[in-house]
Amino acid sequence: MTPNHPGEDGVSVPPQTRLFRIGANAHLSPEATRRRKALPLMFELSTEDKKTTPPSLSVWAEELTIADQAWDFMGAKPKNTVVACLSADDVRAIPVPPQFQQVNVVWEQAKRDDGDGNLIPNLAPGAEGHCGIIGLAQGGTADKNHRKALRLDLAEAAKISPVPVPHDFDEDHVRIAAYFLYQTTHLNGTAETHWVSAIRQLRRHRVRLDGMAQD
Amino acid sequence: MAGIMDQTRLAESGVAVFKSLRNYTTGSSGTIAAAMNTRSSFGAVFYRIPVAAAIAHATMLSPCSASLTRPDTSSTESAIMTRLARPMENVLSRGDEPRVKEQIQEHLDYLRAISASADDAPISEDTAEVARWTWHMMWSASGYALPVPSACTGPDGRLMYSWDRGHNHLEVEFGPEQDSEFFYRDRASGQLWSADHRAGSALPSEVVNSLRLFL
Repeated sequence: MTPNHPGEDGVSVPPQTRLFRIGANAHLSPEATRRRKALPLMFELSTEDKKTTPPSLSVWAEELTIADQAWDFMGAKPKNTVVACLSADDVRAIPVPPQFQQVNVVWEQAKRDDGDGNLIPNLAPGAEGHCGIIGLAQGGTADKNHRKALRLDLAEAAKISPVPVPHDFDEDHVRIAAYFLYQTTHLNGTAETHWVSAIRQLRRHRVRLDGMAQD
Repeated sequence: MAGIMDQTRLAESGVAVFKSLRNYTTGSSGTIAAAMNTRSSFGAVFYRIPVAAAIAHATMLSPCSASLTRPDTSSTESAIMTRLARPMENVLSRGDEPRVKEQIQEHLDYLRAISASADDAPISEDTAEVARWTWHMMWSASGYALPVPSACTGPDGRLMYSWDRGHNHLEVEFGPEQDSEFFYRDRASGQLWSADHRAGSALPSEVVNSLRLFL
C-alpha cells in the first residue's frame, strides 16, 4: 500500500510506503559512492532536528514527492546529489532495546523559511509528502551506543538511488513520458503534474533496472 | 513503466512535435558537473615532497607515540605519501597496489574538496585534518593494510568514516570542537562498544585490536 494523500501530522504513514532521504549536507567519498552504500551519518539528527517535538529525521514519501522536488525545497545545492531510499517497513522493523519505543515514520507538515527567518507551512506542490522518522533520540547518556546502532540500522536498510538529484534524464525522454501520461490519464492533471509523474516513473524504472543488474 | 518506455521509443521520431509542449517545465533538469574529487596526479604530488622531511614526519606520526601534537595538513599528507611511495607488502600480495594507492589519493582529494575554504564547505579544515590524521594512525597501526574508508559528511560540520567486513562494522565520527567517537558493532553477536578519541593522542586499544577484523 502506498499513500496517495498525506495524513494528519503525527499519524503513522501506511505500511510499505516508499521513502527517501536527502541528507542536507551529505557528500559521499569516492569509496562510498563506488559501494553505493549509505552511511549512518546520513541518518543523524542535526542540532535543529533535535529541537523539534518529537525530534524527527526528515524523509519524503516517494509517491507524493519526487526527489527533485525535495532537493529544490532544501535549497537545490549542486553538491547535494545523494538520495537514500528505504521503506516504512524497513524503519519499523529495526530492533530496539527493551527501554526504547519502536522507531516509526509519521506524517509531518513540511516547512519553509518565509525570508524573515520564520518557518511557515510549505504548501508547494510535492511538499505534502514530507514525513519524519521518530524515535532516534531516545534514552540518556548510557544509551549512546543504542542510538548509534539505530542510525546504523537505517543506513543498512537504505539503498543509494542510481538516480542523483537533480535527475540526469534526457529532457526529451521526460517530455515524451509526460506526454504519454497526459494521453493515458484521460487529460486529467496539469502539465506540471504530468512532468512530475514522468520523472517519478523514469526514476522507478531505472531503480528496477539497477536492481536487476545487481541481482 | 514498460509502456512508457515503449511509447518513448515509438515516439522518438516525433520528438519535434513534443518539443512544442514548452509548458512542461521542471526547474531541476540538467546535470551538474562533478566538481568534487578531481584527481591530481599521484606521482606529481608525491615527488614534490622532500624525502628526508617526509620520513621525519612519518616517524613523528607513529601511533605508538603517546604525546603527539597535531601536525598541519601538509605534514600528514607527506607522511601518507611517503608511506605510499614505499612498496606496500600488505597489498602487493593481492596485486592491488596501484588501485590501493589510487584510492588513497582519491580519499585525500575528497577531504580537501569537502573542507575547501568556502562558506558552504561541509566540514572545516581542522575537522578534515583530524580525520586525515586519525586515518593515518589507523592505517599505520594495521600494518598499512586497512582499506580506505567509506566516508560521508553530515549535519553540523561532521564527517564519518566507516568500515564493514562480514558481520563487523566500525565507524568513527569527527566534528568541530569535539573528540572523535569510534563505534563498533558485531552484527552476529550484537556486541556494541564506543570509544572517544582526542586528536593527537594514541588510538584507543580496543580500536587497534579491532583493526584486524577489517583486513
